[in-house]
Amino acid sequence: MILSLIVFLLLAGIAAWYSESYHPQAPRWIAAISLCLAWLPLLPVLFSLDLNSNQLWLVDEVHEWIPRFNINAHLALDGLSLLLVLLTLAMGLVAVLSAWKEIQKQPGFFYLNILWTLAGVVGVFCALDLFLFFVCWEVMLVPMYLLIALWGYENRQYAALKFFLFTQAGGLLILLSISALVLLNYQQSGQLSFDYMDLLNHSLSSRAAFWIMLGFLIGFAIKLPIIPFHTWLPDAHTQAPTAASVILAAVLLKTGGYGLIRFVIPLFPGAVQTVAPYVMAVAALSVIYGALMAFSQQDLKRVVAYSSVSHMGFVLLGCFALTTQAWQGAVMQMLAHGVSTSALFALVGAIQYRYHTRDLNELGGLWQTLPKLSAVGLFFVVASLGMPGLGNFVAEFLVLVGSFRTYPWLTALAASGLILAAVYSLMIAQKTFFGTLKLPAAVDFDRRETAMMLSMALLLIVMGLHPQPLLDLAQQTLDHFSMGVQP
Amino acid sequence: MSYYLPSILITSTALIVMLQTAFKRSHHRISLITTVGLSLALLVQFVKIGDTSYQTDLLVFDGITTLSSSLLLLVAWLLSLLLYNWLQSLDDPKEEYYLLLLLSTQGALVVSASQHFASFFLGLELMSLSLVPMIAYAGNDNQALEAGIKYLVLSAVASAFMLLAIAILYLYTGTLSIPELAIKVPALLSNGNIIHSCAIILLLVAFTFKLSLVPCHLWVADVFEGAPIPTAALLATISKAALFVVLLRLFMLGEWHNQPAIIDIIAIIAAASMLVGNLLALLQKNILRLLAYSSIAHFGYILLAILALKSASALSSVDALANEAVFIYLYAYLTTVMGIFLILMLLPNTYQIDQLKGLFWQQRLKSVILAVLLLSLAGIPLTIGFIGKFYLTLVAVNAQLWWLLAALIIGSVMGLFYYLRIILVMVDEDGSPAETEAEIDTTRTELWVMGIVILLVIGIGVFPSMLAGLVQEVMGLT
Repeated sequence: MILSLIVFLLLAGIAAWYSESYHPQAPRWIAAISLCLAWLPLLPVLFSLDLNSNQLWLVDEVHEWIPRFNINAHLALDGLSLLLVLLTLAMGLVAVLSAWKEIQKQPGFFYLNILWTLAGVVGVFCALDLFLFFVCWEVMLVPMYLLIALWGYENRQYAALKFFLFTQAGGLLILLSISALVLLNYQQSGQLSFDYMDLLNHSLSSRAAFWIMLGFLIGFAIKLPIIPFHTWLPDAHTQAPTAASVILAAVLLKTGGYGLIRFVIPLFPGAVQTVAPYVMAVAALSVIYGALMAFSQQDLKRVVAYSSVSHMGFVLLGCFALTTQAWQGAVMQMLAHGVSTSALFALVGAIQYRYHTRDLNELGGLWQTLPKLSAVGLFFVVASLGMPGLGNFVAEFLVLVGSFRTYPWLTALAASGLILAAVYSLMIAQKTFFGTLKLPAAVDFDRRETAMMLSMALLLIVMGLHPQPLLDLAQQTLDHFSMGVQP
Repeated sequence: MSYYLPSILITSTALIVMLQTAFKRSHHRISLITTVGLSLALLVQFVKIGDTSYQTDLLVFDGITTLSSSLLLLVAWLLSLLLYNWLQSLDDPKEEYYLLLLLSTQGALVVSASQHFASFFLGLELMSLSLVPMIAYAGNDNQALEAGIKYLVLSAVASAFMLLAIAILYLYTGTLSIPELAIKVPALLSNGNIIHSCAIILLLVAFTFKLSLVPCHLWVADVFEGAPIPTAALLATISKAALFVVLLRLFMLGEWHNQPAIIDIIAIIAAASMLVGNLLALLQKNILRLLAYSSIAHFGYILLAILALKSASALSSVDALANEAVFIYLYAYLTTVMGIFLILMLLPNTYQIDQLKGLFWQQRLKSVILAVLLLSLAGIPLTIGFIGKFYLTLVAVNAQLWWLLAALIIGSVMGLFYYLRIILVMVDEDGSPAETEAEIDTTRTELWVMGIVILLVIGIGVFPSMLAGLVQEVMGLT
């Protein structure tokens, strides 16, 4: 079922490419419709969802792939995967909608790349075979690279190259770690397996586990991104077309956090505890550094990009605090950040589409001509700074509460990131929406954009006011894997 | 008898081509004869691929031989399919090129099957000497002539080194048979006579020359740049693969993994080749030079598998996995690189990377395939290149070659940089299209060849079990 979902997205991409020769607007309709249809296979799972049951895997399917190494296409959904797959499909639709009018050049190939990236991401979130995971991890890169390199802004080739090289370096580290883990496990158990479930029971020496864990950790930290591996992100975000920015922020960054929760912590509970204090320190630094950098940018997209670094610092903080609350917070943060930041990128895209600039000094007073856009913008800016009642607040609060018990000082340091978030967020609002109008009037949000933005706002409000179902869903996963690391 | 059948087919095809040329020149007919001969040889080789146990003093037909001959024939066959159109554009006589192609293929087959230095040397010279005129084939091109002479002189020097090494070994052991030498040489080496170490070093120098590994790599870029594209393709694939198979055989039979000095030398050569090759390729403007340097790096990668032969620790009791890795990687590299050269043959007069500008928007099919092949060289999943790299990582981790793995990672990231650079140029739509008027029609043969290349690279890349199973079965590893 998951495999068919992935294959469906791949095929839809090819269909979108071909349809271009019939009608230039066909690709976007195909992309949008197929992303809606992609929910169909998930509906039975959603309807039969029982939050109180102990059943961990909602779907679990194994297809034989490379028997030589006992590699199978093992795909499974649990609460965490389900949440992230739903986020992927929803934000994919947002990306398609935000590209609706912006992309005139080669639309067929554009939507092919969008759909293929999403297929890769769905694969990453569902793969329980480490080889398959790695393949999906790389497969989502190439289309994303093309999206940035082909439809990006002025300095796109540099940004695309940097994005690919950074992620690929991380990817090779992950590949190395996977190989080492599998082989060492084979030496000990006599069973060659890339399967997550088998590898969970490995009995590596603590030294080996430490190095392998480090490989995974750096690979995922590059993706997340965490200082000092974050430099690709501002460039990639700034140069990417709006839709690619949305996907990048909403789901690609989440694969890093997902990797930490799914693989690093359950597979290496001992080694994780050894490095946790250092990683927490780096995470706190990342939160503050990202916020400071965000404040000092002139380019609206760079502000949002650096705010991502800051927010993803909270995810890392939550992951390595090693308490259930903090993990809950990390998951919530991934979801909330996915929605709020993609909304901000879509917003910047909308501004860029109208004024062809993202420079904060040239913008200002947009409220006077674009009241709808500005009101929505203000909402998401406020969400991003962590206003109570919205998803981001729940997430950051949980992370901080969960971490405070074990690392009070680092948590206090990271909490100051919330204040800095208020500073740069309000700066966005101030410089963009208020003040004197420097630019000519433009057309406000149309129905498509309004509907898209309002539904995202609604999502954030639901997450903020009634997060319990989401927390319950994630809880099953967290409970199941994290027994070993409770301090 | 039946073991010689592919070789007999190739040789008789060469004779027929020669006679046909002598009586009546007909490009079309000779092209057809060559292709049919190579197809038959490939078919026979493939049908008999599981049949592996025959040896004479000179030649051995074991799993390694059958696998490498199938690979060599496959590559030569692919090349022969597109040769007609390419040669048609030359002014020179065209028929002899087929003859030389067949002879060098025959030489490569002999080299890869040899287990005696006499047969090895004969095969090697047959291959190298056929390649010299092929390099200088476009007769009025000074660059090609220069490249031809360069290759002639340097390969003669390498052969001289090799002969000296062989002579020294013969002097002390009285035999040229590689299995016998393998028994006698370790004893000689252990008693510390410097002459024997010299012989091994000279042998290694000759191999690094022929495989263009660092530090004997300087000739390769000039020769690739000067040579006609099909010849460069042969140099990159057939001549290197055949030599590599012999190196593998020497390593296995000689049990070199018990010689720490040799291991160290090869490890240094491997690391230097990965880093230097990629570094030199980084800023090349000429595609052929870039491919030349990247081939240095790729043979550096594949040396990892040879070095991993020593440890029979994790995955199996014998050297099975490392052997398998060698062939999977050779397959990956040969098919991918041959594919790239074939695409270059279809893009006439394209030598500089800049000339590819905007290709994606004009010749969609070719540029997509070229991009896929480049990604395969870079080792991106769902291509055969990734499977090769995966095997290498697995065997290197298995043998705990951590420093070489670090070199592999750094090299791969550097490699990705220049492969992506080509793709970026291809998709760059700002560039003025090189030839807007020449939307060249794709003939049916070209479509077929491109289809086969994609099947070999993507098809096997997604479902590698078939290939892995075949390699295992032939090597008798299952």
